[in-house]
This record gives sequence, structure tokens and C-alpha cells, in this order.
Amino acid sequence: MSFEFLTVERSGSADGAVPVALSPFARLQEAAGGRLEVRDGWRTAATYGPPESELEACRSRVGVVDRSALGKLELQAPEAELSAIAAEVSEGVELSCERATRASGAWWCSPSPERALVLTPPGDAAEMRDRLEAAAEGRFASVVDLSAGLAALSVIGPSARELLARLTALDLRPARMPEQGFRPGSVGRVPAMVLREQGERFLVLVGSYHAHYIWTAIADAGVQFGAAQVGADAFAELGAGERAAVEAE
Amino acid sequence: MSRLPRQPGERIDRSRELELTFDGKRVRAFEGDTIASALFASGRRVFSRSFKYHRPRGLLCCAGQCANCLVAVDGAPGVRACTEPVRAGMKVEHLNAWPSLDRDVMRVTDHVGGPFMPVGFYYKTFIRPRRLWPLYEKVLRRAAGLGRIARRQPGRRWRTEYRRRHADVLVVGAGAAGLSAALRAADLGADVVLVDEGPEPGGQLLVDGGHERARTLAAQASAAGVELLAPASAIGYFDGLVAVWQGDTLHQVRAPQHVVATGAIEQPLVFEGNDLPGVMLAGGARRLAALYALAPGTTAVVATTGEAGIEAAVALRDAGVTISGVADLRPDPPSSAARARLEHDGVALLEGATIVAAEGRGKVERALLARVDAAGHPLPGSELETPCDLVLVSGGFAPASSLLYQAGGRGRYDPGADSLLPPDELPDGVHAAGAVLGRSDGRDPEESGSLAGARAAHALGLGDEGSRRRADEQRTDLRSLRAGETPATAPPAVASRGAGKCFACLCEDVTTKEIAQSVAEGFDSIELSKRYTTVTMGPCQGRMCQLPSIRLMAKETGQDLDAVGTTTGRPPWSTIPLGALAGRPIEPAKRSSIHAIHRELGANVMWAGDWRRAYDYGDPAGEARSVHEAAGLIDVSTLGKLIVRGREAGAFLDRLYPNRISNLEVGRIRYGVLGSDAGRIMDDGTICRLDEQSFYVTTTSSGAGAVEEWFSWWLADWRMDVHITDVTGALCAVNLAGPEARAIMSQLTELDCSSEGFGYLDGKRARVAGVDCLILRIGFVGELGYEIHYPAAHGEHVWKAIMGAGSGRGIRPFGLEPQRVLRLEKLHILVGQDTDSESTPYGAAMPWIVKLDKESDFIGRWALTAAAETELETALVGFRVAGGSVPTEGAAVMVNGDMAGRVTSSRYSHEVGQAIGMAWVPARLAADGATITIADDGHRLEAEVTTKPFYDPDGERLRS
Repeated sequence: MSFEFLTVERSGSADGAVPVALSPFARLQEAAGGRLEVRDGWRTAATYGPPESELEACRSRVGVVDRSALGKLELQAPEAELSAIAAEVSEGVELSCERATRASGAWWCSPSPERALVLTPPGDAAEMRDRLEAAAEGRFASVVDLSAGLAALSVIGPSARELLARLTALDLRPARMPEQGFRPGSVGRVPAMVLREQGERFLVLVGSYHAHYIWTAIADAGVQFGAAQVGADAFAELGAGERAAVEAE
Repeated sequence: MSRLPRQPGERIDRSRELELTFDGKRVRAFEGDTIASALFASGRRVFSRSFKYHRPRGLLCCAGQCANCLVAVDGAPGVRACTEPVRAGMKVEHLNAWPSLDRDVMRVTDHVGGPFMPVGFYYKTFIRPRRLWPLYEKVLRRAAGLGRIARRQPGRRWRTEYRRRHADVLVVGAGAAGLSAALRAADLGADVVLVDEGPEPGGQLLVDGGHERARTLAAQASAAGVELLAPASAIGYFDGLVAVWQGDTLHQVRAPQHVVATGAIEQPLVFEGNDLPGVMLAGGARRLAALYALAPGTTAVVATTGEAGIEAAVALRDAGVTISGVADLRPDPPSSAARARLEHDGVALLEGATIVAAEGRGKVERALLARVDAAGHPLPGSELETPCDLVLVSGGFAPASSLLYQAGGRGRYDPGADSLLPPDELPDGVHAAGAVLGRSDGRDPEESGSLAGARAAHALGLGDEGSRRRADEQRTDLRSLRAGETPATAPPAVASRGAGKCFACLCEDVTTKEIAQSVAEGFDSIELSKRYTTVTMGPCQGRMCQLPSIRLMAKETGQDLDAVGTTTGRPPWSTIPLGALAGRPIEPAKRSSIHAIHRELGANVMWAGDWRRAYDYGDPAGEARSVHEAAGLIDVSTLGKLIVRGREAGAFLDRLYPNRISNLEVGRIRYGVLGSDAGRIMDDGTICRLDEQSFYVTTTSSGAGAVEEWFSWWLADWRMDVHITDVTGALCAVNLAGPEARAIMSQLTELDCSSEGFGYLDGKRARVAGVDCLILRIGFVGELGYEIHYPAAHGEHVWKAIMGAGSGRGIRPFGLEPQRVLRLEKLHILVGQDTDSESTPYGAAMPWIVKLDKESDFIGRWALTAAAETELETALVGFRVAGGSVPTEGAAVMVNGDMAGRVTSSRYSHEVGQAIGMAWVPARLAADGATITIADDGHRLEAEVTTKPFYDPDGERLRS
């Protein structure tokens, strides 16, 4: 069983009004000129200006977008149990330590053979957590909601790899990090995980307490590439929103 | 600008002129010029002043190897003018001369100071009186040095970029060998990075008339996907990682295969006046003519030990320079086309001869050539004095094998070739190609490079049978080339009449006499002599002086050159700015999810371990008072937070902590001190049982990572049915404390907050301001308190709700400093501040935490059992100082004039009305009312010991 005090979605006042979760980047986004709005239950930057320029940055240079609203569930179990639970919940998904798998609307990533990180579309964490807990029932397994514990950014565009090369020694070349490649490691000298979702789009996950730092470090490294902050609206328009991707499956 | 007619491979674009300044004067240049070529074209011949004697120095290598042309560019010193491309508007200045480069008053050190400035003179002369050393040091630094860095650079835009680049193959050196290696490896499917110091790939090809071939190879490599980094220096090999400095970017290149094709460096000769402007390496002069269309002089004398000098003489003659004589040290040189050309043109060729001296006032005006014996002494009657303005020297070649040495090889001396050779056996994944391997591979660099590229690719599993067969054939061809080599004649250590200065090391102004003197003084190994004389320690890093210094050491010690050995080649191989190593000015910092609010509230933010935290909000005393009298709210999100769950979670914690955890009731909290296997205090925190199989463990802020690792390490060993999850970042935590805390909480939650419903050390899960929280009734600051843990994404929401609910009850935010005062009033320890690596729970006045009668074994049990049976020597106590003087933390506790303990924490407590603190004291003084003396910066303070908290000693307020 997970714990409600770790859960963003289940928080709610007695009268049913759900307090809005604040993205760990929200204050920085605001300072950078972002217009904060609620998207999928989280307050984050919807736009920074004309969405066209944000889209243009993603297509021709590099854009950085807040993805912290993703559900992030940690599943721990012995290797065989972990595989069995993952397969049961996600219609036979096979976990791999260096490659994430897209199944049942979520990314299944394995930082280690006995640990999986399940990334769900915003708002789907509760449902996925219930399914994982049901599958874990009676097994030596643990499900913990880390949605608020990990800050997430997508770095998108032709210069994405070069920008990240300023911050990480992870080998992100296509031959070593193909699409769906997943690597735990270090980005900007802090523990991180990197998922190459598709094309030149990399999802970077760090501890939420490093959100301010990683934002600053990425912005600093992005100067020479003309990196732009991208709001949730432009990201959705890019056709890269999680929902769109799931539907496309 | 004075230029030669258009040269076939010239690098300059004569259609595009630009302008720079040198020492404030405007200088015209062509696009493609280097600073040095532009200045040379403008008539400048002196480019720098030497390090110690301030002698004028001119261009020598024109290849970025020596330090003769170091200048400052736009305020940045240490730039090699001979390789730095010109840019419009760049501001170039000389270094190390005053008032001007051409008239330098410090030149007096050369004229009168020489005899008084022997090697190591500053160690010998300035050692007494010792108190004046700071003054001496200042003067010496000003007199020597290689430029100054401005303390403030307000207009600076330059920044260091860091780039990590993974590749399959890294090729260092883009001459014919390097280009061929890169091309071959890329053709076989490898991802290749090619690095070269020059602005254009091609290396020696560009000078030897092979520029078209160089450009073809470069184009092919580019088409094959090779990434070229140029001009860029591979500054060091660090266990497979090669750091490459390019402009303002430090590339950290990681490749499983490396090809070193760094070529060979032409060596100068050692003779009187060998540093005069106008003395140039043969290759340097050729570069000036071929690449920049500059005549390095009008009338030249050539002194060579091999064919390179002969070929240079021909090339420069073709460029219009008069060659008035060639001294070839080889007594019986083989015939060659170049030699035949010179003979045909009537150039005087002296065999078995070399240059003995170059003379002139501030520049070369004449040269003295002579035949010499094996020891380098001129043979009487053979001298020939020749007027000239240019002396070309070529003293053989030293392989540029520093990277190979750094990769693990050790160089050796080949007496047949009079040359240092790279290691016979190279480490796995390291290949060499071209001239760095010796003269044979240098004769066919493309084949040598192609073979190395193939071997690198094959090692990665690339290529097929055909490529392997071709590599075998190439290997055979190169072996046959080596078999046909004819050894050269070794040049003498020095040719000299024993009059003027002969420099072994131009960078550091080390003369041959000083090398001899260092040996005479006992520094008779090359490593010791290096440290004493600083030979090879200058900006050239031995490129120009390694071989001459080895020859001199051999001569002075009577050893052969192989026995003398080489100095250790360490990074950096090339000069780089310190900024390249300093990193970006952004420090990884952790911040809580409500950090922005603290800023808005005017917090003074400070580092606390990895975290940025609110030190106070401007009134630490008032903040502490609010906690005592009303309510205070502090952000404690920095606490480490672990979920420990599983069937054996209780038993697991029993093994880690010295007290019992498994018998903790669900919903209850227990304090825990985490001990090492030596029974020493590592960390502390609380443990709350969430359900039968789940515990919520908090740690100190700085100990979170270490505790998580400690737990995981033991879990891996014990293989218990337990899972650990670090939720430090997932949860925000705030501590609401003070007599009004209960009333404030009651406004925000439906939970029964009465003392009966929610007692001290209860842990409950409830909604606070609509957010699901875990609430712990604990009190680090000594008042009724609730530590509220909840999702970080709701951090600001709950903080604001609590502050809003408490606004009518005198609530104030409080920071780290008032928290420290408050905890000190309660004698609550801070692990790491009040404890050290030797502190046990017994000494720290917490014997009650150790349950030696616990059924299960636990970490440190044996040590704590022994400690329990041993009389304490020191103990941690509280103390108060009358009069209000606050002793410094770390101040000594004195007993009978001897240091017997130390103060660990101290503050002034307005609540207590005294300075209070904690200290380790002799155990016999750990009694209420005992007196201790604290020695603090020359003052002695009398303090009274207490073993009970200063505030609420019975904990009534805490438990209320």
C-alpha cells in the first residue's frame, strides 16, 4: 500500500476542493516570464509568449519544458517479482535496465533489476498506483508515489543532445542511447535519470530539491544554443503531450 | 605589410584585410594570419622578453610549441601569437617588460645580475631575513611572471563551456597520419573525433607543399562524419578521458580507442646566443614562408643534424632568402635531391660542422660555424664567421609522445636515432601513428595513420576480413620501411666557446651552466634537476628542452641518455587558462519547495550542507521568543526521510539502531541514534511506525544520503525482506512549535489535537488545509510542536495556510539560527557539531538509548558493550557563563592549565538570560554545579556545568 501523505492527487480538503499542486519550477517559470496556469492539476507555465516561437525553438534549436506533472511511481521487488508485477499490470511488458518500455499508457523504466520507475501521464498516477498495489498484494513488493519527489524537464530539439552534453557524461549518442533509452546517472553533477522518449526529446528527472539548480544549470548551458523555455500549451501542440502519444499508440 | 609573392599553400586571404592593435599601435593583417605573422609582416622581430633575464626573444617554432611569442589578447595573458588567428579589433599587448617591449629596464638583470643570479638564487639569497620573504616574493613575482590577470574584469564576456563527447575513436593530431587514421576508422563505421592544435588540419603537409593533399584528406574525413576540433589542444590523458581545450570550450572526450598522431617536434641546438631574435627552427621559418608568405630573413645560415635543415634551406632559397652557408653535423650525409640543389646553386655546405655562436645587438647579425669534435668542441682553424640576419637550426626531432606517456607508457632513448621514442608497448586501446613513432612511420604517415585507424576500428569489432587483410599488409610495409632506416649522427650536447649564455631551456632561462651547476650541487637525476633548475617546467612543457636537458645531464653525469631517462610528462600538455579548470559558477544546491517563500519573507539564506536554508528572517532573538511565547514555523524539509517497509522492517531497524524499534506501536514515534560498527554516533532522528510493516525514518539534514547508503549497504548484506525508499525530495516538512501551536493546528485539521487525542511522540496521518499529511508530535525546539510532512508540490499551500491560521496568534517564521538557540536551551545535540567520530551515546549523555539487553544483535553492540564497562573519560554537558560572554565554538576547556575538552555549541539565550552552551569535559566534571574554565582567544571564562536542560528541564511544555 502506498501512503496518502506522499500522494499529490489524493490530497484534498474536507469540502472536496483539491489544492493545486505547484510545479517545482513554477516560481522560476514565473520569473522567466511564464504565465502560470493549472494544467492537469498542477500549476505550471502555460506559455512564455507566442507559442509559435516556442515551437520554433523546439524545431530548430532547443526547447525546455516542465514535465513535473507526470506521475512517478517507484516499484521495488525482487527481479522475478518485479517482472511479474509489471507484466501483470501492463499486458506483458518486459523490463529492461537500459531501455524503457511504453505500455499501458506509461513508461516503464528500470534503474536497477529490482526497481522500476513507472511514469504515467499527468493525472493517471492514482489509477496506475492502484493497479500496481493490487498486483503487488501478497508479494514482497513496495509501491511508493514519488510524483512530488522528482522534478522533470524535457529537452527537445536538434541541439538537445549538445545542450545535455554540457551537463552530463552520459553517452547520449543514438547508437548508445536509442529512442526509449533510459539511463540513471548524473546531470549537472546531481543524481538524475534520463529517458530518450523519442527523436531528439530527452526527459530529465532529478530530485525536486534540485529543481532550482537544474533549471539554472540548463538555462546557463542553453545560452549558446538559443534555448527557449516552452510552456505546456506549446508542448501539447507539438504533438508530444503524453495523452497524444498514448492515443497514437 | 611586407609579403612574398603568393605561395601555393598560403593560408592568408589577401582580399580581406583587417586591423588589430599591438601595444596600442594599429597593425594591418590579412584574414588567415596569426597574430605573429601579422606582427612579423609589420616589421616586428622582438615578440617577448625572457622570464628571468628579460632578454629579447623572437619567433622560434611558429607552431605553438615554444613560449617565445606569448602575448596578452584582450587582457588574457599567455596566448601564443604564432597560432592565435587574428580577429578584427583584437587588442594585443606584450608581457613581462617595462616600460616597453623594445626598451625593458629589467634587462639589467641580464647584463649585471647574471653572476649573482645562479640557479636557485631565490632559495639561497632571499631566505634571510625570513620576515622579509613576503616582500621578496612580491618583487620576484613582479620581475618574473608571464603577465597579469586583472583582478576585476567587469566587461568580461568570456566563459568556459564544458562539453562531454563520447566517441568510438579519438585521434589526436590532424597531420597526414591523424587524418588518415580518422578517415580509415570512420570508413570502417567508427564515430571519430579528430583534434588538432593548428587552425587547419594538415600538419607538416601544409608546409611541405602537400596542402592540396591535406585539404583532400580533411574533406574526405569530414564527409565520412569525422568531427574535427581545431584549433584545439589535447591537454591530458586521464584514464581514458582526454581533455581537449578549444577556444572557450573544454571537451571531455571519452573514447575506448585512441590514436595518437601528434608528430614530432623539431629540436633547437644549444650554442651561444641561441635565443637571439633571428634564430629560428627550420620548420618555423618554413611555416612563415609557406603559410603566411613571409620571408623570415634576408640572409640565412643553416645548422642542422639531418635532412630537415637541408630541405628548409632549399625551400627558403626558393622563397628568395639568400643561404650563405649550411653546417651539417653529419660528417658523411647521404645524397639527396635537396642537397644536390644546394650544391648546384653554389651554397657552401660544411659537413661535420655546426653553429658555435650567433651574435648581434638584440638580433642576429652574424653566425660562427665550425667543425666540432664528438664532445661539441670547435676544431681549431675550422671556424667560419658569416654575416646573416637569420639562423635556421634543426637539432633533430623529439616525438610529441606526452599523451602516450600519460596513458601509461614510459619513453626510451634510441641512441641510433638520437631520439626519444614512444613506449614499445602501448596500453590497450591506445595506438600511435606517424612521426610520433619515429622517422620511418613519419616517412609514410598516411599508411601509418591508416593502419592505426584500422586497428582502432577493428578493436571495436568494426571492419571485415578485407580490412583486416589490408591492415596486415600495411603493417608489413611499414616494417620494411623501418628496416631500411639509416641512423643519424647524434649532435653534441652543446657547441660552445664557453663565452656567452647558451640556453638549454628558453622558457625558464635555464643555461647549460646552470644544469652543470645543479649536478655539481648534487641534483644529479633529471627529476631532481628539473625541480631545482625548473628546466622543462615552463610553458613549453619540455617540448623544446626535454632532449637538450637530457643530453646535458648525460654529459654532466657521464651516463648514457637512456640511463638519464626522461622527466614525467604530466597534464596539461598545453597551456590552458585557469578558467578552463574552474567550472561553471553554478553550485549544485538543494532547495525546499517553499524556498521562494523564505526569500519573499526576507530570509537571510545560507548554506547548510547541500542545502540553501533560511538562517533567520532578520530577528533571530525575536523569532526564538515567538516560539516560546506564541508560535513559530520553520521549514525542516531538509531532514532526510526514508520509508522502510517490508515483513522484516522492524527487525532490520533493530539491527541498525542500539534501541528497540520493532516493538514500537503503530502510530508512535521513537528517537534513534544511529551508530557505527565501532559504536560511534553517526546520525540521529526519529522513527515513526506507519503500519505493521512500514516505518518512516527521519535523519539529520546532512546525513540523509549517508544514512540511505548505510541502510542499503546493510540490507544488501543481510538480504532481509525490506525495501527502502528515499522520500526526502517528495515531502515538504515544517515544524509548528509553541504554546499556540495546538490552537493553530485545530483550525486546519479535523484531527483531535488535544493532549489526550494527540499525545507527545504520536504520529498521525490527517489532512491539514486539505492536504494529506503525516504529523509527528515531537519537539526539537522544546515547545509543544507538530512536525508536518506532506507532498512537496503542496509546500507553499500548507505553509501559507498555517501562517494564515496563526496570524492572530502571533505566529512568526523562524530560521536556522533561532532553532539552534532553542535546541541548545534543551541540550538537544546536533550530530556532527556536538559529536565527533569518537563520540558514543554514553559520552553524549544518552546511555538510555542503548539497549544492551536487546534480544537481537545490532551494529556496534560489541563496542558499546565494551564502552559500558569502561569508565568514561569525557562527557558532553551543558554550561552557562555568567556575564554574558559567549565563548567561541571550538574554544578549549582547561583543567589545571591543560586542555581537557572543547566547546561544541554556544549561544546567548535571551530566555535563559545567559550565554549557554555544550562542551566535552572530563567525566569527573560532568556534574551539576561543577565549574570549568574556557580559554577563548586569550580570555578565560568561568562556566558552570549543568546536565539538565536550561529550559523546561522536565519537558512539561514539550509534552503538554
